[in-house]
Amino acid sequence: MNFLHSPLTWGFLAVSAPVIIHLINLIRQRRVRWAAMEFLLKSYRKSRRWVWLKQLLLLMMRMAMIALVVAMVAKPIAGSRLSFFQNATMHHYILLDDSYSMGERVGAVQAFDQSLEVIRKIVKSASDLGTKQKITLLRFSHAQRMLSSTVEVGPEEVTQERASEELDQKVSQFAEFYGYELDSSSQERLEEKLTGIQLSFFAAEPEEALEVTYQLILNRPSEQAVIHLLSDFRNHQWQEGDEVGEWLDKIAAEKAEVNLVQCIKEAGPNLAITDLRPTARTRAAGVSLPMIVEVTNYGDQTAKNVKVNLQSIFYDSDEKEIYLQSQQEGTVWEADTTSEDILIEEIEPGKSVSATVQVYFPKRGQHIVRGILPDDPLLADNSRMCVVALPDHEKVLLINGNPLRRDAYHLGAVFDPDRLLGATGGQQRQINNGIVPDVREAAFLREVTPQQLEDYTTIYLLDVNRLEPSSVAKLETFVRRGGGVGIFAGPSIEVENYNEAWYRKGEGLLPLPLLRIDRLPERVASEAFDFQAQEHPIFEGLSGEGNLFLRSVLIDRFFKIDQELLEASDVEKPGVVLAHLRSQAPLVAEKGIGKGKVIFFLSTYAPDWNSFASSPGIVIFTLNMQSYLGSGGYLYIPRQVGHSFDIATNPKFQSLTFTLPGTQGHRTVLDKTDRLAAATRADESVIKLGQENLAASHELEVSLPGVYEVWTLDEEGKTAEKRFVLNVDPKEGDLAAHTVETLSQRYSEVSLSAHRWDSYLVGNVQKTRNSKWSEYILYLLVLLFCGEQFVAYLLSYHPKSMRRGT
Amino acid sequence: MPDSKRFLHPEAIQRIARLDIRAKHIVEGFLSGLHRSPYFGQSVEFAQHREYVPGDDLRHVDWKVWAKQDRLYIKQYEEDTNFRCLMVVDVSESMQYGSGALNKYEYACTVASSLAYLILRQQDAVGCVTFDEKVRSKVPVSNRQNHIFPLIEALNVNLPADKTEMSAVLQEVAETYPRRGVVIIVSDCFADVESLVKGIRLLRQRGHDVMLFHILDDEELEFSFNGPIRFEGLEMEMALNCNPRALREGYLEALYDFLEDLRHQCAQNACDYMLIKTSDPLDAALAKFFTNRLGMHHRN
Repeated sequence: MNFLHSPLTWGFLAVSAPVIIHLINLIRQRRVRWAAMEFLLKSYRKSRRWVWLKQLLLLMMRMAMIALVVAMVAKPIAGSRLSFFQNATMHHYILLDDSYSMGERVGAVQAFDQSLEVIRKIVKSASDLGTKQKITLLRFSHAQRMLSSTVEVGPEEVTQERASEELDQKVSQFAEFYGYELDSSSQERLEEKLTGIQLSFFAAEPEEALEVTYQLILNRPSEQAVIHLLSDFRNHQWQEGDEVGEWLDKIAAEKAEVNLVQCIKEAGPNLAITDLRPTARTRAAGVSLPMIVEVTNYGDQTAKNVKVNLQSIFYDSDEKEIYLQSQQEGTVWEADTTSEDILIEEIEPGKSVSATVQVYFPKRGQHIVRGILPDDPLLADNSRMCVVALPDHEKVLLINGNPLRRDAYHLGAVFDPDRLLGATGGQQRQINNGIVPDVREAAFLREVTPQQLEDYTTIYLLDVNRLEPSSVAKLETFVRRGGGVGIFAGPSIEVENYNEAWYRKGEGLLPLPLLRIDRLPERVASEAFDFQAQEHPIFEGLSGEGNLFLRSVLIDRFFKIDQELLEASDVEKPGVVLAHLRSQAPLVAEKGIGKGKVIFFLSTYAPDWNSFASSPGIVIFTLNMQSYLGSGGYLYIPRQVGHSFDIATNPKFQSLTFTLPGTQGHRTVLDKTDRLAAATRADESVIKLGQENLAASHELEVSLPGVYEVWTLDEEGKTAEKRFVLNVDPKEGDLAAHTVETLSQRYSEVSLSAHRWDSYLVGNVQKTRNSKWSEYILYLLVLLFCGEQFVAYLLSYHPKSMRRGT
Repeated sequence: MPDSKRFLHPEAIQRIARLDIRAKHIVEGFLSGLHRSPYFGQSVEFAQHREYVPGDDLRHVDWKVWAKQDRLYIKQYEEDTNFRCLMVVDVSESMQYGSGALNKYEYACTVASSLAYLILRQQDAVGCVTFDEKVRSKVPVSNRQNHIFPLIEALNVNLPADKTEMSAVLQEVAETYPRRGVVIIVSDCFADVESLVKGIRLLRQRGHDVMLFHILDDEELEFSFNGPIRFEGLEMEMALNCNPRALREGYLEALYDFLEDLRHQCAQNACDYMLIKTSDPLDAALAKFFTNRLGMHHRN
C-alpha cells in the first residue's frame, strides 16, 4: 500500500510507544512495602489470567489506534491487495470531456480551462508521490474516433496479444499521453500538450472513452488504475440506465479507482439555434425562399426579444475564375454577405420557437445561410449554417394528352404568367416565380432518356390517354431519384392502360386504380361543399375554416376509383387520399416512391370538369403542388461535425481541391488530389470523405463546423463545385447537468466518488478514495477507541456502591 | 468540629514527639470537649480541694468554701477503684505500614498511651503487653500516676517481627493477668482470624471484657494505587509486580470479606470491635472506650 505523504509513514514506529511506555513503567515502578499481601495475592490469583488477557488486548488496541492515526494522516492511496504486497505502478487514466458544452463560460473562464487545471494538478500530485506513476490522457472525441476507425486485419488469426498490440497502437495514435511515466520533466511536457488541446465541436459521449479505458486496464493487470473522468456531466450524456453505468461497473470490478470530476459549478442559461433549413418551396435565382430558423431556450428562464442575425452568403459563379487562378494551398478568399435581423419575442424555458424568414438570392449557385445568436455562456451553438442550392429556374415538363392542350395552357399560364401578358422569349420576365414550363406531347416520353429527364424538377401528365410501359418505367425512375410527377385526369384516359401500366396492383406510379368517369350530383344547399381538402402542404393557404377558395369550387365530373382493384392490390396502402368530394369519393391522392412523390388529381386541370381552374385558388394550389413535388430534388440533409459525407464527382477529374472553414469565417484552399487519388478507384464516381480520409492527416477538417467545398476540374477543363455544411450537434447545447450529489446517488452501487473541480483541486489526486479510506479509518478508530475505553474500564476499579460496613 | 478536636488529628499529634506528652495532650483535649467531667469517684473519703474548671460536675462544688471565699472549689475524694485495664498492642512488622501522618504502629501506640493516661488519671489501674510473633514485653497493671512511663517504654520496640499465632499470645496474656479486667487489643489483625478469635474467646472465658481496636491504614482500606507497583510483603517474603487498578476489586473484596468475618466473630464472642483508620482523629478510640465502658456498666 502506498501513502500520499510517504515520509509520514515513519510515524508507524509510534505503534511501539505503548510497549515502550510499559517497559519504562516497569523500570520506574514504585516499591511499596505492603502489609495486606494476603488479600492482594488472593486477588491476583483469582484474576491473573483475565487481567493478563485484557491488558494484552488493551496494549494491542492502543498500538492499533496509533497505527490507524498515522495511516489516516499519511493518507493511504487506494490499491488492490496486490499493490499492498508489490510495489505496483499507479496508472492515472485522465478522460477529458472535450465536447463543445465544456466551452460554457462563467465570466472569462471556460469549464474546459478548469478541467485543464485539474489535469495539471493531477499530474503534479502524482509526480509528488515519489512512486512509479504513469499517465494516459484521452479525450472523449478522440476515443470516439478511435473506436470508429478501422484497422485492417490480416488473414491470420487475431490473437489476444495481437489485439492488445493493436489497441496500444491505436491509443498511442489518438491519446495525448499514453502510459507516459512521470518524471521531473513531466510538467513541461504536459504544458506543451495542454497548449495544443483545443475544445472540440463534437457532442462526444463518455462511453467510448470508458470502453477504451476498460480495455487498457484489462491489458495492464499489474498496474493499479486510477480513473479521473473530467466532464460537465450534462443530463443528456449521463442518462439513467445508459451504457456509462455498465462501463463504470466493469471498471470498478477491476479494482480500479474511479473519480468523477464535475468541471462546472452550475448550468447557465443558453440559447441555441437548433434548426436552420429552407422550406420546400420552388427554388430559383431571383425568387425569395422562405427559411425556417428554430431557436431553443435551454435555460430555466423565459428569453425575451431574442435577436437572430440571418446572414446570406452569396457565391458568384465568377469564383470559378478565382479558383482556376489560385489553386495553391493556403489561399484564402471570402464571399459577399448580407445580413438581416429577426426578432423572436419570447421563448419559454425548454421550448423552441421557429421563425420563417424570406431570403432573397439574386443569383444561381450554392449559397450559404447562417443564423447567429448574440453571445451567451456557450458560443458554439449560437451559429448554424445551411447550404441552399439555387438553379436559375426550375424546369417543369408538361405532357399534354388532350389535343386542345387546354390543361397545358392553364397550367403553363400559372407557371409562366408572362405568356398570358404577351411577353416574348428573350425578354426579362416581369413575373418571376422561378418556374419554366416545357410543354411536350406524350411521344416525348418515348424518346427522352432518363438523364434528360433529370433537367426537370417536375413532370405533369395532363389527360394523357396512355403510355408505353417503357415511358412509365422512365417516369418511375425519375420519381425514385427525387423527381415529382403530377397526374391530372381527363376524358382521354384509357382506364385499362392506367390500371395495368400505371397502377400495376399498387406498385406503379398511380396512387389509385380507376373505374370510370362519374358525375357528382348537383349540390343541395344543406350539403357539404364539393371540394373537401385535408391538411397538406399542397393545400396550404386554401384549407381551413372561413377560407373561401375551395368552397366556391364546383366539381361536375371526376374519375371514380375501382374499389375491387384497390382491395386486390399487392400493396396494403398504395396511395393516400388528400382531398375528397362531397360524396366521399377521392379527388386528390398522393403516393411516395423513392425520394420523389406523385400527386394524382382525379379531375381535369382545365375548367372542363370543374370550376377549380377558373377560381383564384388554382394559382396557390399549383405553386404549392410544384413546391411540394419539386422539393424531392433538394433533400435537406443536416450534417454534424465529424460525420462523413459523400461527394458524387466525375470519375475523370484531373484535380480535386478542398476549401476548409476557418475559425474566422474565411475559407482556405487545400489541394488533396494526391491523397485522395490513392483512395479512389477509377470506376468509382463517389468519393467518401470523412473520418477515414481526412481525420488521420488533417484532423481539423472535419472537426470544425462550417462550409466545406469540393472543386473538381475534369479533363475538358470544366469545373464543378459542391458545398457542404457541418454544424454542431444542437442537443449538446442543453446545459442541464447533474450535480456531484446526484452523480454519487446515481452511481451509488458503483465504487466511485464524485467531486467538484474546485474541491478536487484543493485536495489531491487521491482525495476521493483517500476520503473514503480516511472515513473508514476514522470509523475504525472510533470503534477501537470505544473498545479501548471499555477494556480500560474493565481493567480499572469502579465501586458499584458503598461497600458493606465501610 | 470543635476547636479542641482540631489538635487530635494525626497530623497535629505527629508533631508531638514524646508519647507521654502526646497522651496527655490527647486526653486533656478529649476531656475538655466533654460536657461533664468524668472526675468522680465512688469513695467517700475526702482527699483535697481543687479549683473548679468548666465542665466539672456542679454536684461536687464545695458551696461552703464559695460562701466564705467567693470562689468555686471542687471537693475531691480518694477513689477506691476496681477497674483494671490491660492493653495488648500489636507491634509486629505489618503495623509499620502507613501512608498518612502516622503509621499503624505509631497510631496504635498513641491510642494505647492515651488510654493508659486517661485510665491512670482516673485512678484506675492499667497494664500493657506488646507482641509480635510472641509477647515482647509485659507491664504489670498498676494505678500509680507515674506508671505511664514504663508503659510507654514497653511500647517502644525495635526490630519488629512477624506475628504468627495470636491465640498463643492471648493465652499467655490470659495466664499472666488472671485477674478480671478489660483487655483492649490494638492490632491490624493481619493474622489468622481463627487464632485471634480463639484468643479472644479464651480471654472472655477468663472473665475479661475484650475490646478490639482494629487499626488499618486508609490505603489498606481503599487501595487507591495507580501505576505499576511492586508490592513487597511486610510479614511475608513475597513480592508482586502488578497494575494495582486491575487487582483492586479482588483485593477489596477479599479485605471486606475478612473484615466482615472478623466483625462477625467478635460479635459472637461479645468482643467490642472497632475499626479505626489511621486518618481518624485520635480521640475516636477514647470516645469508643467511654461509650463502651458505659455500655459495659449497663451490661454489668
